[in-house]
Amino acid sequence: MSNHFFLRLYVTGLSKKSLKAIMNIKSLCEKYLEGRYKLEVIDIYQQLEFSMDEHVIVAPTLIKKLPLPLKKLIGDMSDTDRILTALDIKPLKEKEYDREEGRKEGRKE
Amino acid sequence: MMSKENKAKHELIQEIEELQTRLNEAEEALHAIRNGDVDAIVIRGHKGEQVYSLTSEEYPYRVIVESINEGAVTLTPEGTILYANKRLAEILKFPLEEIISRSFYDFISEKDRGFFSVLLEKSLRKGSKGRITLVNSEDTHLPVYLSLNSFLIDDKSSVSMIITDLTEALEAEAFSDTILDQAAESIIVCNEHGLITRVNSAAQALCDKNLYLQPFDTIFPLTYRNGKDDKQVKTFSISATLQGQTLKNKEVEFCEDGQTHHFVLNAGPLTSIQSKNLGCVITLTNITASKKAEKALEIDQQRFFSLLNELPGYVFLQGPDYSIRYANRYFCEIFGKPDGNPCYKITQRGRKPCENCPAAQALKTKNRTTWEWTSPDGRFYQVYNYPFIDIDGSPLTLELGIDISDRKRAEEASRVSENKYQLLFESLPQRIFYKDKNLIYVSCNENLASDLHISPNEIMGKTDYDIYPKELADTYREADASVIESGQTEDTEEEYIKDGKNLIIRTVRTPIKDENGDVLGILGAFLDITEKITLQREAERSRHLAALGELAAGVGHEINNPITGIINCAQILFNKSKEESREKDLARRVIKEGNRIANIVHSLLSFTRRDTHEKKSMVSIREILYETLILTEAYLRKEGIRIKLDIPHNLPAITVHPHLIQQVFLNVINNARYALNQRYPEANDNKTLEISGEEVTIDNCPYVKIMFYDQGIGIPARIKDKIMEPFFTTKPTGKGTGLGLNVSHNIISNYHGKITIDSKEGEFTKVTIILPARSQSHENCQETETEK
Repeated sequence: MSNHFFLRLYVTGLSKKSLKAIMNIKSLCEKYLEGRYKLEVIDIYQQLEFSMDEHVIVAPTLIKKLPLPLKKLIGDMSDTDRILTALDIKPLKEKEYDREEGRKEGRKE
Repeated sequence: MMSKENKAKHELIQEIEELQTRLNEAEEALHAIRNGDVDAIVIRGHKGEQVYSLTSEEYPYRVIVESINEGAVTLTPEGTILYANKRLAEILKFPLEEIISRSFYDFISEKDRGFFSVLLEKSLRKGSKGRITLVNSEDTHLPVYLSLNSFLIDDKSSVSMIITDLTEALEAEAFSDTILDQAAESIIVCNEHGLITRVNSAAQALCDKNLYLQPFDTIFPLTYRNGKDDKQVKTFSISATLQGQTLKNKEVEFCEDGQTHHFVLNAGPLTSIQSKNLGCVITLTNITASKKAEKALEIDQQRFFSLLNELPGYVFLQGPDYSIRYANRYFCEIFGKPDGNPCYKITQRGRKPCENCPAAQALKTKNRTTWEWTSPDGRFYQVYNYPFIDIDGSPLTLELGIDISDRKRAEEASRVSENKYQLLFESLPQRIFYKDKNLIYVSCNENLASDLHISPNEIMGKTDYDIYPKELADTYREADASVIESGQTEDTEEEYIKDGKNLIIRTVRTPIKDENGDVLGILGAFLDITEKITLQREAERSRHLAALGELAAGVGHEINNPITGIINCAQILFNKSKEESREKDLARRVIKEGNRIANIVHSLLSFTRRDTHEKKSMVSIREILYETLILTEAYLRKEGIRIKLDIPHNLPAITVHPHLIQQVFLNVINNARYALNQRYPEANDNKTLEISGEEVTIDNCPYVKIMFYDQGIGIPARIKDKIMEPFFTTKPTGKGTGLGLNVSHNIISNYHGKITIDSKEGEFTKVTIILPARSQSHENCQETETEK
């Protein structure tokens, strides 16, 4: 179970970023984690209670619940490399900002 | 303190790190918001948490989607769920979070997945609708109605789908479905566009696919023909029905996997209460089996009829009204097509039923009748009538007629030929018999039967022991057995007794064999050859007698001369001898005995003189008799038979050939000798032959009558009529020829005389011979009388 991934994606209905996020994370999981992941997609319009518990304030937000440590990612999940790094799926050399987007990499809690 | 400080310091560092993290998060969130990377913000207000969409104009629609009682889903063209509302989660009994991002196919029953992909693909071009079955987390199958439409999100095609749970609605329909499913017919309901909206299980069984909302004409490519023999196959469409036309009992065909199914189609429009056209209802009744049976029956029937047509005889079916309901080819060829006409009209060219019609008889008695019929064209038929009940219960007669003309003719011919042989069999002079191999008589011809004084039929079952004396029967059966054993035709001379008369027959026995060469019996034919044999013997005897006669004549002549010399010398001696002297007496005796020798020689010569050209001469009966007696004297003396002669000296002379009359007398005397010797083998006082003569006058003509009377064995009354017949003899073989009396009779008749025999068996025999006393014939005599 150690390398079993449990991901939870918070989306808001059919909004553009949410849909993209779903499609992106889904294809990423299928590509890199096939058979060893569980993905839950929570539409916070319909299941608001979940987001409160996990301090989600924006959507789409991806939370890596397992393996620990917990990790949060925000956005439409289109930057595959960043996500892979953040999720520690395909670790890059060092923690650094993404060149293109200039976004910060998520930190360990 | 230090530790306290350290602790505080440590806690502070921890707190700073945590704040750092949260700051980062906050920064990131803000960064995302600033960059437009978020759609909504969740805010905790006094009313609890709320989501604030950053683009909130769709909110009212979202509320509708979230709150409707249908499942709402957004899918990628591959079927991945991008959005699902809570209602779907309820329907599927899965947590909503486990639904989004999954493939919708995961929730579709296996059999409908293919159909769904079709719907999905179709929806990308144009909207699509369909009914499928979903499987929920409890493995329950849920009928749902899908409505799919495509739309673009960021220039990417997506599909929105509304899922209506039909479980409840279908439960309501279940009742009517149950009824529909009970129907053996396939029932299909189409909407006004010709798309299938409902099918019962029988219809579903016809094709193993999801039929819902599929065009009927595509799913059921039915074809039909106008009439059974129509070669042109037409494609069926329900379009006419959709426009209000009703179809009744239309035969259609449905090909599937190379097999043709036959259906009877009924279709009618479906209208609502408001008379709105809702589509149509189609029922299909599978008649493939009955079609097959019908076809098989048809083939059977064809086979049956062709069989009937091939029959070398006529067959027809006749009703109680004599009408011909069916006739085979043979019948039609000979009598013409019946066309429902009555049989008497067709076969007899009559106007009313024949009297005692055997077919009607069969119908009445319910028994088979058999009879022979001669058709108007002169052919013979062996006819059978079989009564039977038709399928509809009406009585019918089947008539079968077999042409037996050829057989009849052959029979006739064989009867004629048999008659011919019978005639031949009967007309042959031969006696013919047939015995089986156990030597039991089977048949004989009329000739043999009449010999045995029976009718030809009576011989059947008899054996030779029943017919002939044992000795004869043994001989015959021995000969029969020899033929059976050898298998060869044998030819034998045998004895035969007919009416107590011994005959000699020549029998030819031929074995009759079967095809294996085993002897079945004996065919025998025999012919009376007694006459032939006797003639042969007589000829032999005559030759013998002639030779003897010549010898006797030779001897007679040789003796005649010396005896004359002896008598002359003895006369001289007598003349010259003294009276009363012994020499004279001896000479007298020599002369006397010499004369006796001369007499014997003379008689002998006269008897053997067989010159038929010898002329008749006037002779004295007395003389002839004496000469005959001289010839027989020696025998008579030896046998002790005395002769009592009473012949007057004055008997008139007769004109005859003396030696023939001598032969007659000799015959009569010999017979008398035989009879006497038979009765008295030794000497006896009654062993006497009385010979008397007298002159009699019959019809004014003088006759000489000579009678020979003996008291010998006599003649049995039963053969008295036959004794004059040639070859009849009672003497043992070799002792008599059977010709004596016959020859005598002929001789006497030639001289217009008569010979009669009177006898009583065991007492006497009297032979009377009458001869005319003059040389002239009887006619001359009468003339003389009239002249007088």
